This record gives sequence, structure tokens and C-alpha cells, in this order.
Amino acid sequence: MIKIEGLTFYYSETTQPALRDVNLEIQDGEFILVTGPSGSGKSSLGRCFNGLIPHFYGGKVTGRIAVQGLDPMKHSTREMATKVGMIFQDPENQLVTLDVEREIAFGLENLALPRDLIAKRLEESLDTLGISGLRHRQLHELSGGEKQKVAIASVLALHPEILILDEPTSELDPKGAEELLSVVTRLNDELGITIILIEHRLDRVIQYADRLVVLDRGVIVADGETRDIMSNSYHELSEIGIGMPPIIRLAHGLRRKGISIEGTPLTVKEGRAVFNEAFQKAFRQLIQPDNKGDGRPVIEVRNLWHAYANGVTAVKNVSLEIDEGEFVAIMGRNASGKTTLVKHFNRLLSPTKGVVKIDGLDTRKATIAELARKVGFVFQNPNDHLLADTVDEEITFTLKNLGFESSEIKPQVDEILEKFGIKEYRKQYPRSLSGGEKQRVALASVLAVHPKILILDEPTRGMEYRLKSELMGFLDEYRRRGNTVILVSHDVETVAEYADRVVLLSEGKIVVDGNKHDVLSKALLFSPQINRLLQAFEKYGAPDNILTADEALEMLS
Amino acid sequence: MRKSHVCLALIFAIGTVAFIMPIFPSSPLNILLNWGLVSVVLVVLAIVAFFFEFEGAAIGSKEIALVAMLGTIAAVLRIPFAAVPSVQPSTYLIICSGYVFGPVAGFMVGAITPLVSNFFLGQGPWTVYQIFAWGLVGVTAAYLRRFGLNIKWLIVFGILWGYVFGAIMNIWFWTSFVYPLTLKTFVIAQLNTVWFDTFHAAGNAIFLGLFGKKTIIILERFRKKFQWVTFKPSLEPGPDGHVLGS
Amino acid sequence: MRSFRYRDKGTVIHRLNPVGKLAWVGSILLLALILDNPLFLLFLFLSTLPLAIAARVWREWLSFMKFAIYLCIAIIIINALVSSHGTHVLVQFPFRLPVMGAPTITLEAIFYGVGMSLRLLAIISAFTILTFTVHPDDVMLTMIKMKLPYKSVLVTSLSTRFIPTLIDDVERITDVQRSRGLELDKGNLANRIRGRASVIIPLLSNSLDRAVQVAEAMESRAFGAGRGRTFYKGIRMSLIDVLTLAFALLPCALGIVMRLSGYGNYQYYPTLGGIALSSLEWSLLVLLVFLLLAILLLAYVKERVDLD
Repeated sequence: MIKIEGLTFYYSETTQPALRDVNLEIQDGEFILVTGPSGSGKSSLGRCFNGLIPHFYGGKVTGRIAVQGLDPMKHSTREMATKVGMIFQDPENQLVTLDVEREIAFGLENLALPRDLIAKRLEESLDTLGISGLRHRQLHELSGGEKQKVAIASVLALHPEILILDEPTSELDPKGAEELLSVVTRLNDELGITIILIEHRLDRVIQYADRLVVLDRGVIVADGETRDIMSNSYHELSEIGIGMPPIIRLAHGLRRKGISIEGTPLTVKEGRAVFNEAFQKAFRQLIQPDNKGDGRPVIEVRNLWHAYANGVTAVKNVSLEIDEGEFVAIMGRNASGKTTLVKHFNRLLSPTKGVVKIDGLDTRKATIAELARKVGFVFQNPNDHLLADTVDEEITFTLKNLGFESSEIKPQVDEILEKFGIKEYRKQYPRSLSGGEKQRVALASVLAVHPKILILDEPTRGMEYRLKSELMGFLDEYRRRGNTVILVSHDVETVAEYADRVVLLSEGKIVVDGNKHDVLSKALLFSPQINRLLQAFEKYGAPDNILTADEALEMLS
Repeated sequence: MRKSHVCLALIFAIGTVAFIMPIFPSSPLNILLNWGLVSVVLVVLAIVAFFFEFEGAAIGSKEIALVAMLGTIAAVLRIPFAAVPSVQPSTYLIICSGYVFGPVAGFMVGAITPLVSNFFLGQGPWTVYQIFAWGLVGVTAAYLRRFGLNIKWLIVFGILWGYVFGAIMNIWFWTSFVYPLTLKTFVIAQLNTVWFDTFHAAGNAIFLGLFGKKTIIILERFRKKFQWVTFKPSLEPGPDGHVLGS
Repeated sequence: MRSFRYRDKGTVIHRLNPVGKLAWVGSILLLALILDNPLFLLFLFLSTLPLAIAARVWREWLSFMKFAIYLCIAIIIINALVSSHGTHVLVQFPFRLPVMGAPTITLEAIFYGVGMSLRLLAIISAFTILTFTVHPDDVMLTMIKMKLPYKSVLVTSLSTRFIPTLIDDVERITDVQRSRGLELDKGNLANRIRGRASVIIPLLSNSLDRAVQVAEAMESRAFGAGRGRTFYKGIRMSLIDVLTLAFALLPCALGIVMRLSGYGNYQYYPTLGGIALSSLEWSLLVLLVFLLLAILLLAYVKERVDLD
């Protein structure tokens, strides 16, 4: 059991508490989802359970905390390790050896357990996670999802009674995330391990949690049974910036329209039962606007092949045309060739065979720097972009590289800072800004040269709801001014909401290419939640190409 | 008695024996005392002494992870497919690491660099000389700060190390493959690599001049943020004098 | 280039116990340094070749040897130029140079250079085989078994672990900055360095964040819990492995005994000694080569034993 009373915590040299007067009691065997916007203190709370706060981070703590009868403020993290296991966000940063067996043995070796006991625990952990097949593999060969499972196995080997997972799926693709979560639920169901899952994205995980704890600015603002909170505190949670799963948004939307709904559904299955009555009414067929651009192609790909030096052919005979003013999403599983394809658009990669033309210019005849004026490329992690001492310099760096005159640079910088609302930070160190501000600086540093084409590789991965809608807002506005946006993404819900066209790749080939309403409906893995829900109501005449909660509500009016 | 002190004593003993042996030409040891061998043994012992010093220092997971990460960066930047040929940023990074985190951390970062990158580039007897040379770069950079020398001196220091590094590396070449071992032949062996050393020195100077301050600020910011447990500076700059002079 | 590192090709050499292989390379190094007879050095070099072939790394081996050839040329030239101890003068340059004086090239000096080149080839060949057939982690493990300080070994092992991650980071950050118009190989040295730094600075900052998280993960898994720790994966020595180790060390012992009793040396200066070996020396040389090749024999025996 965990019991926290009046816990307040300040990181060193800060005046705002990260946690303020937190009171919480967690029973053994519970599955708790801790959520909140970024900066709400949810990760800090997680780090109090095993004493990383204050032993590792320093700072000032007041209040009382007891975890399985121990006080993590007095006992070090190492001592807590056999009670509380902790899994972090990036699998890359929590594996410390070179192969799977040694990784799982690492914690046990630290406890100085005898070799035969280590062997037994190792076997047991591999079996529990269902990864015995990986035992002789090198860690660097594994996928992100597999690495994360190894991380869990290595913690589980210490026989913790509580498992804390801090956004464990944010670096994984949807399939890896799904598998990981099913493993976690099994640990809770079958072994009775207490699970504390820290997550800002609710849609994937909400159905698993018995209880939801919501934090905002260091304070617990909601704590109770998941369904209760979703029914009763919907507006409060939306207001503090928590993204609601589409199906719950739909339920609340219907209530607002005066349609009565019994309870709040958390899954597609529940939704089909709950909405059954409401959806037996007449439907309005929606005329989907076809934002097909103005027909002038800016990207032309003809029979493109790309083979890497290691012999892997990542793109196979792809032909594609993208018009000015289009918003295209490129989707597909991991290693389907998405990133390889888009890297041809600014010549980071050159075709092995075939032709890529940007704005009529064959990329083989241009340098990356020349193309950079036309094609902006934003990568997932803004930290990979940031190299300068101030925000000003960060943006100047791109302009200088691209040969802008110093007289042009100043007004360009001013303009873009203004537009992205980061003018007040212009003299600050970019890396010390918040996640959302960093994303804006990275984006601004690419958009400062006004490229006609903007490519974003997985920009929303691990991004919280508020930042995501802010970013997509920018992109939408940018596209409206006649530019082209290409989004490489796994995020079905975001694509369903914002893109016009979806190109689906598999094993280096285009499988489908068309309007999002055609591509994303009835495609099991790549269908948004609402579409999957509505498939059950086709028998009542519901259109089969509805993708988002808003569309569904419109259809019912 | 600390293990590192045992090592230092051993180094001293071997060095002394090696120097005295020629006085007894009939001793059978003389046949085995190939200078190449003697210098390898001395360098290895010196390194082991440093490793024991690291072991004895009051360090925890943070320091271990940090040192490993800095060493990995310096190593990765040596591997040609990840960086540019002929410009090696490793030395500059090791200098900054030693300058900010002290002699023990500086040594370890310098030692990791060749040890790990040579799994890619090829291990050999030169690995121990590289460990020794880069390790010393880290250690001396730390003392530079202790004597209150500022960042401008780092550039001079970087140029100097470009050549000293070359000299240390030449010791193994010179003692193993050149006859006779005189000052003259050493100078010639040096001239053989003077072009590379100059490039190394120039690279160090430019890296430190343009980015030394920035790098140090980044490292400092990090050190303050985590209230670093300081590495205990219990190391005397002893062993190098003997080896260089042998 | 990425293949320039250990890859488990599953040959008998790859499967040999790392301790035995390390000892074998150590023996070659020591023998190469204490022996100076060119015939002995030649056979020392030759006896490494069967291992490169058995380990199927000869292609990689050759690429490393190219580099060794450059060094050999340097050895021959330097020795020819600096040494005036020989008596058979081949070339006498008519001018004087600073430091060196009037350069004289003697037959003895060239011969010495050739002998030393063989010494170098033997050393590089043995280490190349080591680089390609011993897993870095096994080197760490051997270091632990040799009671080298654990923290140092852990740092090294962590670093090996992070190499692939950081290589990916470097490639990604390079792509990011090139997309922002950075041209890495344009202009003079200072410009190139500026380009490099545009990659290094973000890499450094990101890696420091990584380091914190790694440390957190280590603490969470009881790192530093007590004074002691155990090791799950020891290097287990079977009888064959112990035999391999013994046979790897034997040539070393034989070499020392030979040297102490005056065999295996050679007179380069002031005049070259006779290259012909006495029958005793020949038998010693054959014995030495046999002992060095025993590792290959034992490797095949080990395979048979493991299969049974």
C-alpha cells in the first residue's frame, strides 16, 4: 500500500512547487492511471514513490510518504528497488548492457544474488513477458517495443510489488504500444502487481485503468473511478488541456445535443452498445470537401527505388504526385519506407533508380542547401534542431546557411518570431524553454525561409494534446496560404482530423493513395476509433466514411 | 595501501630496473628488456593505476553514466562513417570534459575514447598509448583550471597537446621499430608524423577557439543542475614523467 | 564501414573462449617484441594467417593490412635514413641535413627495417584477428575476471552499449542540420569545423540528458545497493578452454626461455649475421609455430566436443 500525506516538493532553485499538498492512497493490486498536462507534476509524483526524488534530484520535500511500509525519503532508490520498479519513456536510455540476458541480470547482480537464483529469476521474467525468443539477442538489434519489454523484464526480475511506468509507449509505434499495454494489464491481472501508469494520452490506455488520478500544476484535481471522472469531470479536464478519447467526446457531444446516453463508453465495444439507440435515427450523408489542391504538382516522383548500402531496399517503384496546397499524410508500419521516401524530397537521399522532381527541378541536379529554400524538413525531436545560444541565433543560422543577406535576415527573424509568438524569448537559450516552445522554435527555424513545401516526420509522437492541436493549427494555416504540407505519422486520429489525402505504404510500396475518408475507413489498423465504432451502425444506414467525433455529430444533426 | 599506489610503485620499480640494467651487461634480463616491451608495460601499469583511482573515487550512477556518455561521443566522432575524416573532435571534447569535471573524470573520458572506438577501428598495442595520451589530456585539462588558467589558455593547451599526443604515440613506434634509440632518431620519428600532428593541433585550436567556451558552458550548466558529487582529486601527476623520460 | 567490427560469423575461432584468444594475442605481441631474428618474425607472422582464414575474416584482415603496409614503408625509410651503424654503405648522399647530418643508407639498416616490418605485421595481424573475432563485451568480462576495477569496466561497457545509439543520433542530427542548409564539407578547415560543431553541440546536449536518464534507470535497478555484486555471466572455462589458454601461453614461455639461452636473436649491426639457422634453431622454430597453431587445432576439437 502507498500512503501519501501532504506531500509538497520543490526542485532545487525553483520557487514554484512541482507537487503541492498531495494526498493519495493506493491499495495493493490497483491499476492507476496518472494523467495531466505537461508540467503538471505527474512524472515528479512517480519519482517520489521510489525515492528518485529527493535522492537523485535534490530539492525540498515536506509531507509524509509510505510505500509498502518503507519511507522513500529515508531509504535510497536502491533499497526501494525491490519494492518499486520503474520504467521510463525512452527504451534507449534505460538499457545498460549489450544483450538481453545481461540486461535482465543487471539488477539482480547489483543485489549480489547468487548465480543460480539469478538464472531462475531470469527465466521467470522472460517467460512472464513472453520474450524467451529474444534471450540471446543483442539489444541494439531489437525494435523499440521489444526493448521496452526487456526493460520491464529487467525490473520485474527484482520482484517489485509496484510497477511505475512513465509514458512507456510514447516512443513506440501503435502496434508496439498495444502489445506493451497488454503485457502490463496481464501483470496486473495475473500477478496482482500494482500498476501506476503515467500517461498524457488517454485514448489507448483508459479502458485498462481502475482509477484515474489527474494532476494540474502540482495539485490533484481529480481522483476516482475512471468512468466516473470521465462522466462528471469532462469539462474540467478538457479545460486543463487533457485530450479526451474521440469516443468520449462523441458521447458528450451527443448529450449536449440533447440525445440521452446511458453511461460513458470507454471502448469501441462499449460504444456500440451505448450508442445503439441513438444511432438508429436518420443519418445525413455528408458531402466531404475534396481539398485536392490546385492541380499544379510541386512534387513528382517517378518509379523511385531506394536501396541502402546494407542491401535493404526500402522504397520499391513508387510513383506519386503531390500538388500545391495539399495536406498529405504518409502512413505505414515501421520500416515501410515512409521516412526513406520523404528524405528524397529534399535530397537527404538520392534515388537509386527513378526520378524525384521538386517544383520541376530534378533533385539530382540540386544540393540539399538549394532545395532547403523550397522544402522545409522538421524532425520529431526539436532537441535535434537546437544548437544556438539564443532563439534569435537559432533562426539566423538557417538564414545564413541559405545565403540570405544580413540586411534581409533581421526583418525575416522578427517576422517569424512574431508569427510563432516567441518574440519574448528571443534572447533566451532555446533548450531551456518548455517542450511546446522548443517545438515552435524548431518550426520557426525551418519556416523562416518560407519554403513552399513542409515535411514533418512524426512531429506529434509523444506530444501532449494541447501542443498537438497548436501545431496542427499552425500547419493548417500554413497550408491555407497555398503551401504544401507532408506529414509522416502513425497518429491515425490526428491524420483523420487534419489531412486531406493519405498515402499508405507497406514494404516500400504504395498500397493505397487517396482521400482520407476513403483510405482510413474500414482499414482495421489505420482506422480511427469513431470509424470503427460506426461500422456497427452501417446496417442502420450510417455512412462508412466518417472519421472523427465532429463529423459523426454533424452527421446526426 | 591503495591499489593505485601499488601500481605507481611498480611503475617506478620497472622504470628503475630498466635504467640500471645496461650497467650489468651480463645479466640475462638485458636480453628481454626490449624497450618496446618496457614502455608497453609501464604505460599499462600507469593506466591501471588511474583505473584504480577512478574506482576509489566517491562516484555513483550519475558520474558513471556521464563519463560513459562523454567518452562515447568522443569515440563515435572518431569513427569515419559518423564523422569527417581527418578532423578529430575527440581531443577538444576530452579537454572540455577534464576542465569541467576534474582529473579523474577527464582521464576516464579520455581512456574510453580509444578503448571503445578501436573496437571499430582496430585494437592493437597503440590502444594503450592512446588511452594513456588521451587520459593525460583529460587530467592535465583539469589542472589547467585548478591553476586558474582561462579559456584562452585552452587554445594554447590544445595546440600543445596536438604535438605531445603525437610524441606519446610515437613512443611505441620508435621503441619497437627503430634502432638506435637516440634523441636524433626520436626527432626523426617525430618528423614522420609532424603533418598529422599539425593538423591535430590546428583542429584542437579551432574547435576550442570557436566552440570551447560554448561546450564548457553546456557542461557547466549540467554539472550545476545535478549538484555534482565532485570527483576526489587525489591523484598526483606522477607516472607520466617516468614514462615520457624512459 | 559499419561492418568493421565484431560480427559473430559462428566459425570455430569466433566460438573459442575469449580468454584463450586474448592470451594468444598477448603471446604473439610479446614474442614479436623479444625476438628479432627476421626468420622467426616471418614465421610468427605466417602462423597468424591460418586463423584469419579459419575465422573467415580475411577480407577485413586485408583492409587492415593495407594500413600496416604504409607503416612498414615508414619503418624501412626511417631506419634507412637514421642509422649509420651499418658497414655496407649503399648510398652516400653528398649533402648534409639539419639534425640528421649526412644521410647514409646501409644494407644493414634496410635489412633491419625489413625485420622490424615483419615484427609490425605479426602484431597487427594478431590484433586484427582479435578485433574481428572477440565480442567487445567478452573483453569487458575478461577484464572483470582479471579483477580490474568494476566501475571502470562498467563505464567501458556502458559506452560500448551506447555506440549504436549515438551513431544513429549523429546521423539524424546531421540530416536535421543539412535540411537547414548546413553544408558540412564546404570551405576551409575552420568552416568544416563549424559544420562539425553544428552536429556536435546538439549531440552533446542530448547525450547529457540521456546520461541522466541512464543513471536514473540504474538507480531504479538497485545499482550501488551494497559493496558486493555478483556476475551472472561468468566466462566458464571448460577443459578445452583451459587447454587452449595453456597452449596460448606456452609459446610465450618457450620464447622467453629461448631468448634467455640466446636463440631467436639476430645481429643486424654493424654487419649482418648469417641468416641460416642451426638445426636446433630450426626445431625450436617449428616447435614455436606448432604451439602457436595449436589454438586452431583446439578450436576444431572444441567444436567437436560442443557438438557431442
